[in-house]
Amino acid sequence: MTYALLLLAFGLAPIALLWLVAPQVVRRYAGSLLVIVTLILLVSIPWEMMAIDRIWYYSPRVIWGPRLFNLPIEELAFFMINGLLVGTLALVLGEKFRVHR
Amino acid sequence: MFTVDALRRFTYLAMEAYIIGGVAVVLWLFHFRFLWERRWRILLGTLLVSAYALPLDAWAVARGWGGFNPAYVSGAYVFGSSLLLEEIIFWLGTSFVTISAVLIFAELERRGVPWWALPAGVVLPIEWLADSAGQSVQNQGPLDAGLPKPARSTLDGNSPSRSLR
Repeated sequence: MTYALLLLAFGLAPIALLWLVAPQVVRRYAGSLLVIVTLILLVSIPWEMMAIDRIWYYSPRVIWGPRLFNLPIEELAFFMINGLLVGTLALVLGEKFRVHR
Repeated sequence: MFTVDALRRFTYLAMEAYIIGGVAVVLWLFHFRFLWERRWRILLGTLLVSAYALPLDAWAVARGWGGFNPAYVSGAYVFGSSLLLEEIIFWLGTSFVTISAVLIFAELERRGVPWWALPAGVVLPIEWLADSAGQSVQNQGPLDAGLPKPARSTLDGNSPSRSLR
């Protein structure tokens, strides 16, 4: 298994499941998801550029090799997928556990 | 006796404190009441994400997919030598911040603020942005006819049923 497969299995799959479970929530708050992923990328890319291959590293055998901003493309995908997953979970929790007063 | 080498081991922790902690402080400083009312949801989401991601993180490190430069990390590992303290803070912190921000954005979006204005909600009051968007809608006509518009604030505890509380 590689980093990309890990993201596919444990990142995209649960996102797809959440989107299937609550498509109306995703549709209604698509702008929020778009904005949170964009902000996460804006904050994370400089942070990651400072840290990669210095504070942490990835084994070349688990990443494809192409880089953008000197970051493995899987790492960029990670930030987008993580943002979508956590954001969708927040929206679904918000809908499922809303309080009626 | 502190040395430069000893201080360098807090580099990752310091980055987390500055970036994740900084964003969290800004969000909670400007939206304390709104987020406090949703604290259990934020806590639940944070714990769910961390409980899901941390074993994967530890598993990948244990298999040698990646690692950390001991010169820049605390060296405090949990569960053997796979799960670094800083990684636990990373998952808890990023989930906490992301969920807090998404709840703010969703509330703004629900109240008619266009998506491109949502980032302003990080530091501007929800009420103010929502009122501005409402005036804009009144001037330009309904942008999303058919969707119910809340008649009053959700910050006063009388939120409409669609509120993300």
